[in-house]
Amino acid sequence: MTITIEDLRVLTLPLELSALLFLVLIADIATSSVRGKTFTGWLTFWGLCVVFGLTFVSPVAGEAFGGRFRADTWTLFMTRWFIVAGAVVTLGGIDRIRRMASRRQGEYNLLLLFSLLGMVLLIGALDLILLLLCFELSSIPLFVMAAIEKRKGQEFKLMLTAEGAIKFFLVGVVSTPIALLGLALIMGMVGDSSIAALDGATTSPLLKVGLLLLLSGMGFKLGVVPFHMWVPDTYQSAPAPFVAFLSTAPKVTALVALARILVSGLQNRSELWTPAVTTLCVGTLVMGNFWALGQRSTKRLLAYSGIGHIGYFMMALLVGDNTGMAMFLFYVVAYLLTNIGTFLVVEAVCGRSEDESIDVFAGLSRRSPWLAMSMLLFLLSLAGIPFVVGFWAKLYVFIAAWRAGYSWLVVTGALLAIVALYYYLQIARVMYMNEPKVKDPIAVKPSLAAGVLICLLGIVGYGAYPRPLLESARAAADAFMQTRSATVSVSLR
Amino acid sequence: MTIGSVYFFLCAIACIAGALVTVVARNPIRGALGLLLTIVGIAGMYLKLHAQFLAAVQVIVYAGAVVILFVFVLMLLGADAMERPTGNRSPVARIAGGIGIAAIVLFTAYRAIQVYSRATNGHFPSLSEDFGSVKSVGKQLYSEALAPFELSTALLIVSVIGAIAVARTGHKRTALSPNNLTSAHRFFGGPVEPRDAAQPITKDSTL
Amino acid sequence: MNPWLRGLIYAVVVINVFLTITAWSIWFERKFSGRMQSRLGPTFYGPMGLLQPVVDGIKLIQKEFLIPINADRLLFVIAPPLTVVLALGTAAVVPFGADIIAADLDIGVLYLLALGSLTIIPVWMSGWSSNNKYAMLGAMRAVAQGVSYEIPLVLASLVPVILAGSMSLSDIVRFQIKHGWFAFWPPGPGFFAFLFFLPASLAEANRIPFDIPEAESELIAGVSTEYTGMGFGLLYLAEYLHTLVISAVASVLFFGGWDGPFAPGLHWMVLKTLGLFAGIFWVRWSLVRFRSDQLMSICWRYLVPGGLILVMSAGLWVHFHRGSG
Repeated sequence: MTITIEDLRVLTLPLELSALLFLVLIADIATSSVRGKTFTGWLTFWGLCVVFGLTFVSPVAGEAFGGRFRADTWTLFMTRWFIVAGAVVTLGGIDRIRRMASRRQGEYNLLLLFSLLGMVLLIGALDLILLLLCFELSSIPLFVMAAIEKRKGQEFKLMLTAEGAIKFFLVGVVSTPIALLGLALIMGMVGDSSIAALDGATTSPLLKVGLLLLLSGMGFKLGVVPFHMWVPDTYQSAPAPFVAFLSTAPKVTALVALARILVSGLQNRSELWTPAVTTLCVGTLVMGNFWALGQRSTKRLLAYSGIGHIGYFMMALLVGDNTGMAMFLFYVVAYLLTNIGTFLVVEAVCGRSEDESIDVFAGLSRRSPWLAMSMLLFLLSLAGIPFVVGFWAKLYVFIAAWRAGYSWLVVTGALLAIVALYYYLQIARVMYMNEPKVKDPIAVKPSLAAGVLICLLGIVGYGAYPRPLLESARAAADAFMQTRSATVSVSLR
Repeated sequence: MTIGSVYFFLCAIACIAGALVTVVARNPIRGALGLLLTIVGIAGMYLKLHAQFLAAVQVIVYAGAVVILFVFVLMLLGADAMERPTGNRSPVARIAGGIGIAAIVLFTAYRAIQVYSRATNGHFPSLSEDFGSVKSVGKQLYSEALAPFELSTALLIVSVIGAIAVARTGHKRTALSPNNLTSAHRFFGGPVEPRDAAQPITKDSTL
Repeated sequence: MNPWLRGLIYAVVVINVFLTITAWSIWFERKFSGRMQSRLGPTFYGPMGLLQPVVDGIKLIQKEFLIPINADRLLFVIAPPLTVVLALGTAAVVPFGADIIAADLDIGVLYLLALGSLTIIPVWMSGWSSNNKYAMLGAMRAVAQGVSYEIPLVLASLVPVILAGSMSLSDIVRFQIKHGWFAFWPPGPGFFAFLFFLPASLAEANRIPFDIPEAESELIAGVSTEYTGMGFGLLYLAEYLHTLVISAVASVLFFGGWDGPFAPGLHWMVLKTLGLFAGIFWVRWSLVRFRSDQLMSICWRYLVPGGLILVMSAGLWVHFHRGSG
């Protein structure tokens, strides 16, 4: 097999991202002032916008590296949303990073782009080794980004940041070998590293052990319930704009990697993995939502709510067919937009004071009505109330799961959504009912406001008119489920 | 029992003993040496599998660089800098955990032996002549495994950038004027160790 | 012949030959340095002091092997023999003639590098286990130096590998017999690779001018401070063994190994090895020791980038040469 220029053409999007990465790298090296370093942030944002635009200009389809990488409707769909997530997070975080890590802004943006590159490559990977490497490329930068803020003179905060970052790092580096060992066992039983060959695996206990190890390794990265301990601590201590990224794109990446192996690779062997995934799903749904009830810190509350959401994702994966994947994708988009928006609002409200307890939100409606309004909408979307996009996402996942015969799981999920409504509305109650401690409105930087606005438009727009998103999700899911494709096509949408 | 299987069991025992020492040793330096033993044992197993190239690279990279870096960090911190693990878990939990892990390991090993004995009846494909040679590994790396290979370089760059970003303290190095450049600076550009040597010795200075 | 028996015979021969050469190389160095410093060197035992190594050996064996009370006994005891074992292990793949080689591995060069990278470990073990600050400092310096200089060493040894298209040492020699010695042909990469190889390997072996791990004027004797008797003897021996192996490998990689007119290959190989060996002594007694930061900047600022350029140029040379021919 030789690498041809055709292979590189298939890799257009990742290559464009790499080009942007080099630009940012050069900009970082070339500048030395704080203002210059902030420029790398803007360069990252506008560069990502350009790459996003380019996805509409020349969508490519085809296979590269002898079928190890494929570009099709699915990769196009996911790439776009990852780029959107990256761009919004960069935009919303520019101010915070300039303030708190002024000398490391270049590295921060660079690492964000590296992480995005890993994600964009992962979604097209059809080979277990490539999949794992892409996953590592997407997750290793995050360890550093979590520790990017170093405070002078605030020893306690510094320790807190270090604690969260170290926990994240340790969990990350310990879970990778576990997943790797699982993958090695799976590959040994299959005799090949390609996803398409997974179907032909000999059913042996070693394969099951491998799957179990893989699930637990990925479980750590995802933060599903028995493996979730690092999530609240890291979220609490890391900068909120980064958490907006951490809580969305990497989780989706891990879920996509799982889906690639389980749903698309082992699609005819679902009896191998459904019991384990069901257990994880129920545990995550129940415990995540109940633990969120007692939280007094917004970030910790959102961390546990995020854990709960992973449960809904897994419910969609359990369906295991084209519809399930389509609903999964719809949920991905809804979750990306909503969660990023929520954490950006948290940054706007709590970023300056560094105090993220729920009481800080008291009387927000009287201080900054627009901020309170958008926070309310994001919370409603997280809870799944009509007519924001979160409602449709939950509804579609429930329908797909019901049809696949998981009625009891749907009932559990719906009941827990009501539990979740309680703690989401608790923040809303504090915002609208309580008396504010400080009267003056909150000063929000335009970049941060723009980031919130993009997410807000997204959730309201897709909430009012979900059909285009649904259709593109369906097309992407169909492309995803083809493991041995003869013809690869891209539908422009 | 052929010489080959004696060799295999020697390597296997070295691996497991090394791994145990790594985990159990109270002294971190001994732990690092246990790791070394494991790595050399694994390299020995690669040799048995005709993967000579891999064995050599394993020794160069892991024994020659990774363990050495561990050791270096331990020495910089001082071996006593590490807190001795204090047992704050109840013995019941420890024993239960130990039994659980042992059960999983034994079960896996048992099944592995089952699969192995089933598969040795001609199930494993025979290897080609140049399997594991430098040439075949190189061909694989630059054709079929090119994408992962190149990606791993990106991974290394990320690690380097990340390590620097985390470790950098933001101290500014004092600028040197052309006048006080020593020949060492001109040739090697590095910091000169005895920084106070330039200070003139006065009557007050005690030696 | 039974391969195991053959291996055993070769091992005995290689070990004895190398140890003997090493022992008398110490005499040679003392004479050599004596002449360089306008004195006579050893003269007392035997003609021209030729029996000096034997007497030294007897003296070392007689002495008591002391173990400091706070030392890590296990590591302290196993470190010196381990150094010698690793140094002798590298000798196994060096070809002394067309068929005079103990083990003709396909990956000879890699094997050398692998064992070479391991040699830091016993040095560090001896330094750390002594529980002495001089030994500890020496060990830290040795580790830092070994890890850094391994990279230029690998890059420099890659050049002959690329040019010859093989990692087997005897193949590399055969290629040179056909196409000329790498130190002279192709002009450029080979010669510079030799210039990089020598300091890098000297640094790996902790020889002057790269001997800051020992640095007797500041660290007493570095890692071997606490060693007495045969423990010290073995560490000392290993250093010379290393130097000898380095000269042998350099003559194989860059000077055509056993290639030469008129005389059998073995003679040429021994001649080249001893010539390089003497060259190393010459360097040792005429240069001063580098400071530790200078050592690091030589490695990272000059040898590593230069080595990368060399590897690239060797690749380009092979590419165009094969492309045209």
